[in-house]
Amino acid sequence: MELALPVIMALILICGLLRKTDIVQAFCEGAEENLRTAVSLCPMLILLLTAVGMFTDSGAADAFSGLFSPLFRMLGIPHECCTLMLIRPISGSGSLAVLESLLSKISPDSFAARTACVIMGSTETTLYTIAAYCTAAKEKPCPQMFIASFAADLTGFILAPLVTRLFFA
Amino acid sequence: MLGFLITLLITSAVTYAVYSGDTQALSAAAISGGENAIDLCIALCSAMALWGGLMNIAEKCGVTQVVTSIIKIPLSAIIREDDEVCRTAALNVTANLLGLGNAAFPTGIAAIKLMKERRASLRSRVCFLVLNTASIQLIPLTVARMRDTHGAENAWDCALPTLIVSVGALAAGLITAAVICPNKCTEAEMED
Repeated sequence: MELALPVIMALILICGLLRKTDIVQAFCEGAEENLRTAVSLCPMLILLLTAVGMFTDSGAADAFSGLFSPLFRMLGIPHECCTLMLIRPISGSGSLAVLESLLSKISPDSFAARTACVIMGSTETTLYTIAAYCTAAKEKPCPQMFIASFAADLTGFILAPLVTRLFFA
Repeated sequence: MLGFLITLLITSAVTYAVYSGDTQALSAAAISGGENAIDLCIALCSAMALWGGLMNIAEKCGVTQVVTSIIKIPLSAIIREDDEVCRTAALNVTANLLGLGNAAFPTGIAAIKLMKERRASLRSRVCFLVLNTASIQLIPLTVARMRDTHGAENAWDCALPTLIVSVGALAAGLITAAVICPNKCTEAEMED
């Protein structure tokens, strides 16, 4: 899997050459656009990481996830992932901040960190996405949208520790 | 929503720290959090820029169009609408799959609007939203970059598990959608 990125890079560049695309020009345009996006994320991340850092370091996060620990133990989800699972459906940059603070606390090669990474990659900001799409399309969100999306998220949360255990046991 | 969340996080942190008596850690976290954000941003800048550049080449030389037409085949089994609706939806799914962050949102809105216009069935619309809320990303570049910065042995080792869990979550969402949405929609449902 670690080969995926280099191989895709090579393939895209070869395709670009074959189709006589101006590779350098195209790369710079796309890179600049994403660079702007990354930079525009920064102010929001400062606020979010401060909030998440305070929440974790004060011990409030542990106390909070302690409330859910019986449920989490039953599902086999490490309790460190509690905050991530609560914020993930609401905010993308918020969950990025939670994952960042989690990775700086525990080893990225630990079971909890790997589970958190899988959760981060396999679920989306469900509530935000539904709200944004329905607002933009002037459509009233119907309950079926929430039910189906949350079924997907919940499956992701439960599958993540299972699959992680399977891979890294 | 986000403002509420941040206020909630900080207020509960302050309350808990005062209650437990350990206010030192809290004060330290209050000034160091922003620094971590800058570090994270720098780490993400290069990764996101690299990906954006590559994807712009892919767009220019027609690779993304090929991906879109491949995606359209299984997609038309999920979203049983006319060809144009499927094509617009396929554009959006491609953007999600390839991590084209900037393209995902506008194409998604275009697809939703078109579906509304064409009076697409409730099931199609719910399925389309599930495709967007269950993240199916081929290359989890952001997470890999973050793992790498924090000294993971193999930054990419979570990529395959992530893909498997994504597919499982998506399947669960689509099955739920198929179960709870009647196949043919009535006028009353369209008003909802």
